[in-house]
Amino acid sequence: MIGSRKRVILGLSALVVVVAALVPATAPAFSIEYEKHALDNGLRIVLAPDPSAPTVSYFTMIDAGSRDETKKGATGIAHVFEHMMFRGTEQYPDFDAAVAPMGAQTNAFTGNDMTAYYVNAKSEFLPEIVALEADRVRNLVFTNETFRTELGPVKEERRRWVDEDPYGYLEQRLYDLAFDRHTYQHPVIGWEDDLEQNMTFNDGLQFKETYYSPQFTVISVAGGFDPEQALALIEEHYGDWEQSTITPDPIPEEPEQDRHRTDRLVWKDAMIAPIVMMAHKSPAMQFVTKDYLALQVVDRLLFSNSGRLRQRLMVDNQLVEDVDAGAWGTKDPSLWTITATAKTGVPLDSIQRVIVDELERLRTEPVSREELDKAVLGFKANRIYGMDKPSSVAVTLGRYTIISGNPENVMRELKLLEALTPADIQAFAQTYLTADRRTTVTLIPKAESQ
Amino acid sequence: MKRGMWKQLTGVAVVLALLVGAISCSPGSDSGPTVLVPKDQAGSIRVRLVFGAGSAYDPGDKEGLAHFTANALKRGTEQHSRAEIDNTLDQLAAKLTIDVGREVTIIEGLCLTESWSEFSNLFFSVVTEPSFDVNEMSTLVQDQLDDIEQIRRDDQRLAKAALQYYIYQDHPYGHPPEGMTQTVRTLSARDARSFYREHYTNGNYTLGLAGDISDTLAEHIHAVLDASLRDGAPTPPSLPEPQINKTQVYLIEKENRAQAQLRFGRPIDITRDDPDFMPLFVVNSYLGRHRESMGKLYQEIRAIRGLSYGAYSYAEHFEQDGWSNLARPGLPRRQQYFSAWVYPKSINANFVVHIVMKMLNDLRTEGITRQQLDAAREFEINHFPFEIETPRRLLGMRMDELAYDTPAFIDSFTTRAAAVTVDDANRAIERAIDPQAMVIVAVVSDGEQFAKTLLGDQVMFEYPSGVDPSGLKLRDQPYLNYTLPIEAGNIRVVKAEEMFQ
Repeated sequence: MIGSRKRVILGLSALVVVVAALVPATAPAFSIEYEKHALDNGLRIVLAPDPSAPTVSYFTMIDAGSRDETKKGATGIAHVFEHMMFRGTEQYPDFDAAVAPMGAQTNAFTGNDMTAYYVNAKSEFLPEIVALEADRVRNLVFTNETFRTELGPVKEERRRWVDEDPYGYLEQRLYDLAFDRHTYQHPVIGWEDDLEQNMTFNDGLQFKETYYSPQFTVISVAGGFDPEQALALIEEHYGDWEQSTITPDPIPEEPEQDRHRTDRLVWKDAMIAPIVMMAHKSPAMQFVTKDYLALQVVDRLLFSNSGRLRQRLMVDNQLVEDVDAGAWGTKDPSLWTITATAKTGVPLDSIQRVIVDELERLRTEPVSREELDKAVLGFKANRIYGMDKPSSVAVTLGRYTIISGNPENVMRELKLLEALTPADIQAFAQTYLTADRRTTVTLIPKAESQ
Repeated sequence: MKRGMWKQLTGVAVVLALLVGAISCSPGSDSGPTVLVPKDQAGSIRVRLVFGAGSAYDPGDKEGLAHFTANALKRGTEQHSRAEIDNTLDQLAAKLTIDVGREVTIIEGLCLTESWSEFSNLFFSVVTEPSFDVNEMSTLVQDQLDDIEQIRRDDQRLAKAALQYYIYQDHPYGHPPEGMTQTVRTLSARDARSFYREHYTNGNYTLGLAGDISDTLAEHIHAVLDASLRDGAPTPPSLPEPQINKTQVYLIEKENRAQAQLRFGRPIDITRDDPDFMPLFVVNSYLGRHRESMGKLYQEIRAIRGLSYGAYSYAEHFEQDGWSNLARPGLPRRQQYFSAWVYPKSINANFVVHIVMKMLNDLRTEGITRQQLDAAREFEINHFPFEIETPRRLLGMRMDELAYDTPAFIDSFTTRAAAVTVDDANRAIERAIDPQAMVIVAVVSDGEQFAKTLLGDQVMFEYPSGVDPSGLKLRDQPYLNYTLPIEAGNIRVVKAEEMFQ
């Protein structure tokens, strides 16, 4: 049975939102036209039609990621289950074979806070895409045998990006050290022991039954399609999807960090450059707070082409091969991590001193208006440059829906960035960029440890 | 020798009439080769200059010089210091990237439309009046040595670079664009200046523009560049035909590997202007298109057996375009190679080598069936819109058309794919795929030990824990029984730290 749809915010007619974000004089206005809907069963829908596009991008986003892995011994299950979603259903036993004739781009990814599946294809295939995607999110069939087989590639993925990658290896330790209770402590791909020994077929089933449910699902569609047709198709295929009645476990709350945490690791061979990761507990993306926006600005202030730390470490003093950070938005407070790779012969201590010095400067001196404007403009320009295809639009609107609570925040945050002042940046730095909130891990090559 | 590329690289003026979709024609006949991809209300302008100045142009004792010279452009100009360049880019929220391939150096700028005037001043300064400051060049040498070291450190990059190194021995394509440690150490400001004078000339570039652009804008850019750059065009280096007559194995040793990066490849004489390119492209889609799960390699190695995360093959040199499943457009080459890539757990490396080589052997001896061809063809025809999905990709693909002298490559893609016959496909297979004459590269902990396993009668492997191997026994047997076409004398063990020295 098709459920009657509930349109969020405005009554019965589809809400078409067109927002022209406030922008500085040198940047054009940025907007994405989209409609927002919800079905009675809680399924959220974001539609961003672009009549000029010959393709359509269809994202199925599950509001659950590694953050939601609360069961002991089953870390990585969100990601393993992502793999299982390509294992077919009764109606489409071979997902790959079903999707191949469309010439589609199809893949998936798992993060801390969500799991996303996408099918990008020529617009004419939208009906087939909706049918296929609705079927597998609702009716996936998998056995212990396929579950075990799929754990193989997952373990190889882990080997590639953790066991054979010094950055992945060090980052794993960083989060483990920085968090005491919150599930951000464990890696998205899961602990090795859990993948090798502890995880069971039933863990996969349990995760599916809890989270692969309409109230945890967002469908985000962008590109060349008729929104009325898309909505009708979605209602047809998802409308009678019943909600799971399982209440997810609460996510453990992380206590305030009260001291600088450190660790020093040794890589398994001599063929790496020393690496330091310095992280600070950072604000969540949820609700797009002033602190979250200030973090975006700080990230650019330090690491854009002319960023303070990039210039000082890479250009002026030639201390590092590379230095960067990433202010990824997360549902709960997480880490803002600076990663620096030392040049030959440069001690990591000297790099850490420069980083700490620049963080201290942010706390003690207000940034200039010119620097702030430059950072804000860079953030906005990246948003404009990045929205160059339907899949970029669909994933962005869907992600903001899940993590920040509202796709409107894609535009709203640009307006809010405009309003930030140097004092806001300084206040953020004074609150968040402190030693007490800091975790530092280093990795040195085997030879240096001997 | 490819006529199209020569047309581009020798700077013969070309006027294109590209009228598909959002394409407009190039400016007047006095201007150099030009590709325009206008898009209404894009809000941005992308400018791409492609110089015939890739790493194949490096002098023999100066491997890495093209890369060095290209990156020197961003290290300061007569008007701007390096820091000023960085600051101006940020003030304008603009981007400036430089890439060096085997044949070409690409200088690409991206700015908001409103910033074009200021950005173009910087862009022209970078391209036409680099300062080659001695101090900056000294730090650039060290940075480029670090670049080479980064290739050695990363197993995935190492195996890929090593495959090309061994396919193209004593060949201008052999060394990585970043160069070799010993030759990069010798590079100087004088070398860069000399390379720049010879290669950054007004007869040696192609202009591409995308976004909020016009013919007038293109004419203006040509006028500035043509007046500022020296006259002339360098003679492209001759490329010998690489010869791989027997399968050769290169085992690159690194300590404590949990996983083996495996690369398989061989030179081919099929490039985009060859009638067999499309048949090979479609065959590759059947065999192992990058990051697509319908490929035969993927199905056999990952989906059925869970032995590797990825298992792919390539009909030409492949650089992944960002996070997509697509190849970066705009990196033309006069010579190409076929390759495959798998990365299993170390203990399964020998088994996976057997699987890949047997599958290549079967494809060569048995050919592709009509059904397999039709499925791959259908995929490619419906997939093609993604190849030209963004202005940036369309610009790159259009510039590739110019370089390969295949002006209808995009417009005729569907027609040509639809016309591929089983005979065409099998002819392409015979030309491109030959397990008897491959280069295999593996990054392993113990080269001598792995060599023994490759030559031995027993193939040891393990399936992921919990997988019942009895169900796969019958399917495994042909792979286990396959005798690798590898002779002991054609296996060489190399220390990772010795690569690219």
